[in-house]
Order: sequence, then structure tokens, then C-alpha cells
Amino acid sequence: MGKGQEVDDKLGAIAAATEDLRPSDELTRATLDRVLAAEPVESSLLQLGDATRAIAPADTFTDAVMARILGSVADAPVGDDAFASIAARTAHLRPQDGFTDAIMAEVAPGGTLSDGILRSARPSLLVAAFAAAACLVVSWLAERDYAQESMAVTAAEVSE
Amino acid sequence: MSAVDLRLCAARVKQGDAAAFRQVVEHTRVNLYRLAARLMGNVADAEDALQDGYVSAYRGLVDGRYDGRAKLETWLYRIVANACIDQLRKRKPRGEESEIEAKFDGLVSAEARVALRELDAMLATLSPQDRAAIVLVHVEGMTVREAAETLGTTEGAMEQRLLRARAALRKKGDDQEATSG
Repeated sequence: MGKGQEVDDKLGAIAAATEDLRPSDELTRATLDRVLAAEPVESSLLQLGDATRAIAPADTFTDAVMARILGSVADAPVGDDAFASIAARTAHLRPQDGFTDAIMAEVAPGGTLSDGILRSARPSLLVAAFAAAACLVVSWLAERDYAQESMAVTAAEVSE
Repeated sequence: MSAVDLRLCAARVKQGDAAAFRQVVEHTRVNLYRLAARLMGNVADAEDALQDGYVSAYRGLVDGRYDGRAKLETWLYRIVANACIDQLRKRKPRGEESEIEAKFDGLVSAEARVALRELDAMLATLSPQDRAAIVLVHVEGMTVREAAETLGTTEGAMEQRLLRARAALRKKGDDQEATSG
């Protein structure tokens, strides 16, 4: 057996014999104390960290957060959802019954009853407008005659 | 619940299922509550910041701002840390005894409450960003890299921030010793 092998064997034996070496808890504490004593700021912070490790929120905290979040959903600024909201609110809109007839009157050449009514509406409107204008003229003429008569009566009374 | 499930929940929220967010909250609330409490230094402010953070996260999911590259928890950590930093920036100074009562006070022992107050006092002079760096690394136990990812900065910048914050804390400690001694 060579010298080198002997050394290797010895080291191997030492390694095996010292494999189970563990520091005592006391040593760990003492070491930590020394380390922490050298760094008082870090030591204080570590201790405060330990003292606050068990902090935990109450069960009601989650409910409060969810209430705020769901509230914020309701109050959320108008975005893409606004279109969906408008769509929902306007989903029941329906045209009046005459709407379809009016459209058909424009597009269909054939005559329906309502189509005929629509077509006859234009001359009716012209007649009505003419009549209204005539009424205005007659009324204006009557007023003018009344004013002239009043002036004549007043002049006669003055002369008497 | 695995990370994959949380991503599924996130996908469902994105598709308009608001109720799926409950699972996200249920799964992450304990760690985030503790993080917020440590960052804010008291439970009441932590609850406000955490709620803001969750609401912000929900909107982010709906708007498709979570791209799924990072774990959902990491993404939430960032949002909640930023919500806390925002609240810290807005915070007005108040007396030691004027702690606001928490609304959902859960498992917060008297010891933890005292510890939070001590932490708040200890970090009071730091900027919100420096405070967050210290809490993430030295109290939460994150690596510098994880903390940098959470705060959306580089590892180098985080190292610098930590050095500066630690120096400020040491100086504060020395000043207090000199005053008392």
C-alpha cells in the first residue's frame, strides 16, 4: 500500500467518524447572539420580524375586500361594458305599427290600403294649407273694415 | 392552492368573473396582511393599504395588466408594497398614543402590536422607499433580488438603498444612545 493510499484511508476514516457531528442548539444560539450583537440594527429588525410573524387578518377581511371590489365594479368608469349595457337597455325597442307600412310605401310600387292613405295625404295637406291661408286673409280683411268703420263713427261723433 | 390555480383564478377574473378574485384574496391575504402591517407599522393603516392594493390588483387583472410572467403572488406583493408606500407618503405625523383602531383585527397578539409600534418608531425617519427596502429584506427575509423585483428596481439600486437606510438607522441609534447616555 502506497503512502498516498494510506492518507486517503485515514482521511476517509476521519470523515466517517465525524459525519454525525452536529452543533448544539446552545452553540447556534450563542453564534447567532454574537452575529446579531455585531449588527444591532439587523438584530432588532430580526426580532421584530419574529414578533410579528403570527399576524393574520380576520376572516371578515376578505368579505370587506370583496365588497369594495364588487362596489368598484358597479362604479367602474364607462368602457366597453357601456355598449353592452346600452344594448341590454334598448333590446325591447320596437317600431310603431305604421312604421312598416310607411317603409313599404316608399319601397313597394303596389298599392295597399295604407299606401293609398299615404299617397292621398299630400294633396290633403295642400288643401288644408290653402284653407288656412284663406282664413287668415279673410280675418285680416274683416279687421281692417272694422277699424275703418270705427274711425268713421268717431269722426261723426266729433262733428256732431 | 398552487401557483397554477392562482393563475387560473386571475384568468377567470380577467374574463369578468369577479367572484374568482375571492380565491386570490383567500390564498394571499395572510402573507400580504403581515407585509402591510410591517410596512405600515400598525394594523389599521395596513388594512387600508391592503384593501387599496387588492382593489388595484383586481382592476389590474380586469384590464389585463398582469401578463403572467411573474408569479401572481410576486405581482401582488409589488402592488401591495406600492399601496403601502403611497399611504406612507400621504401619512401625517401623529402621536405615539393615537393609533387608529383596526376594523378587521385578526390574529394580532399584544406582543405583535408592540413589535409593530417599535418597528414603526425605528423606521420613522426613513423615506417610504427606504423603509420598504429594509422591511422586505431584514424583516420579511427576502433576498436583495426578490426585494428589488418587488419594488420594481434593480439589485444595484436596492443595495444602495439598503446601505443608505442601514447607515441612517445606525446613526439614529448612535444619536439616541448619546442622548440617553
